[in-house]
Amino acid sequence: MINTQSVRPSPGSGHRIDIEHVCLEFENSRTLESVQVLDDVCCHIEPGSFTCIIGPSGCGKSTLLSVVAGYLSASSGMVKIDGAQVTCPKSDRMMVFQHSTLFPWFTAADNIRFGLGVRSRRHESRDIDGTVAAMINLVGLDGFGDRFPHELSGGMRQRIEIARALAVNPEVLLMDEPLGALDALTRLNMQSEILKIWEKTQKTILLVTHDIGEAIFLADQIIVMSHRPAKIREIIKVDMSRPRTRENPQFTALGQHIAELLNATF
Amino acid sequence: MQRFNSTLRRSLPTPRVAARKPFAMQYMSSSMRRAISPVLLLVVWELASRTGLLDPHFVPPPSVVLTELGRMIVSGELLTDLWASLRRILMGFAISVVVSVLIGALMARMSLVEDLLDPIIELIRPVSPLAIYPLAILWFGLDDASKVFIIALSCSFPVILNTYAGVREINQSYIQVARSLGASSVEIFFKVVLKGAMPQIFTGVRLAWGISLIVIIAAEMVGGTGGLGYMVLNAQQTFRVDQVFAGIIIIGALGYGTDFLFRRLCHKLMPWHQQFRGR
Repeated sequence: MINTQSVRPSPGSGHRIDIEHVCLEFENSRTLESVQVLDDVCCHIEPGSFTCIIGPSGCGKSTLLSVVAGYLSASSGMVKIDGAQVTCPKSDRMMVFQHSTLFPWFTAADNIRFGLGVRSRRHESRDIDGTVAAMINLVGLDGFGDRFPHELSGGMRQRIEIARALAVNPEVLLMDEPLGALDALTRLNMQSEILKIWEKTQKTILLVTHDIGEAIFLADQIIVMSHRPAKIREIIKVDMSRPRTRENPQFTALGQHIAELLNATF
Repeated sequence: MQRFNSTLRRSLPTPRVAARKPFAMQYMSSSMRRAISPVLLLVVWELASRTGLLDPHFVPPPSVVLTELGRMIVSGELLTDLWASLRRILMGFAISVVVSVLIGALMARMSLVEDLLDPIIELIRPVSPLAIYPLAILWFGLDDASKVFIIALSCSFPVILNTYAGVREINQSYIQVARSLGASSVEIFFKVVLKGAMPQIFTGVRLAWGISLIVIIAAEMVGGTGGLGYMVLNAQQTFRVDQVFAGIIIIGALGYGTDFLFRRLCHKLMPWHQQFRGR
């Protein structure tokens, strides 16, 4: 039996994220027109909380996530994680993408081992094999460690992706429509799975989705964004006990409210 | 879909006489069918040569060729030549693959290296290695060194070009993820870039091996000091046509056998790659 306790950080860990007046403009390389993608985005995310960003497709949700990750830098404003300004990608915040970025040439276990074995982390001299096994156990894939990504289903690949990100013990987990490519049934299972992982690890999670039900099911706080240039329409605190059921009238009412904000039907 | 199919089938008229499969399709396995044409060729060749339809001085019957081949193997003279050729190929090939993979990968990752090396490579690449071989003889003499040099040179182009393409085609998100996970540039180069380009690199390596088999024969014919190419040319000049055929058979078998080994090696090294799966 693998002890998952050993990888669980102390409760209440996870960093605080402050997004302060972030604007982002792109220059279209062909027409040389500048396109504003993010317009004065401002919000605060509590340590260890679960936040969903929802908005119409193409509005700039993923762009905002890339700014938080450090892949893109804001034209003005800044993102602070635990008080420190974000300038480049770092392993204290890991990104999980919609489409699997697992290395196809490594097995599931070796994918997780990759981040643990890099030179910059070697001085930590942790029990690498133990951590790999614990991570596989955490995402419920015991016995699948020696499979290659192409031998796993879409849902399993996403779980390994999450395990790989969590293995380097980030404080913040950024998820860019992590369930977008999965079928409806797998998607529902994975929502519960992500919630379970979050409860066990107490990371700060920022998840982009365009599924209203998914956002309400998962989040402590929902950030609703407008069409491009993306502004924050509303920040909604979700005060419902977990596990949340879709039959709950509160759930439905909230869903309709968000749908109205997005001009969609729920 | 299934229902659609069955409706479709019902609506189509049934052919009155079912088409009969040819005998070969009905009773023979695929590998048996594949043996038909080579066996037929050998039989026709043997008969034509024996009856004088083809002049046996120029086209000796296969039985004579195979007997001579057997004698050459037993006496060891063939193995001496085979080893001479193989040794030269292996040395040139090994040096070339290591250097060319590095050059190709660096060119793909660093535009300065590409700008410096690409013009030279593109200038030398279209020149037949055999045009350069006389120079190699002048510089390195008639022994192995000149042949190793020319093999290394002609192997380098397919390996460099394929490595370059393979590295260029790697999904950038793999590199992004590796960097986020804390990997250094060196680690990314060896564990992500080269690993990811492996299938393409292997394609280049296989092409290079095929080219080196061709070039070595030609080089040994020009600057002959033993080897299969020298042996074949020598046999032709002494009018031993059976030995010429024996040499050709061995060269063919060498190419076929080594490519088979390459494919097995691919499968072993890259069990994750689609192209080599299930072979």
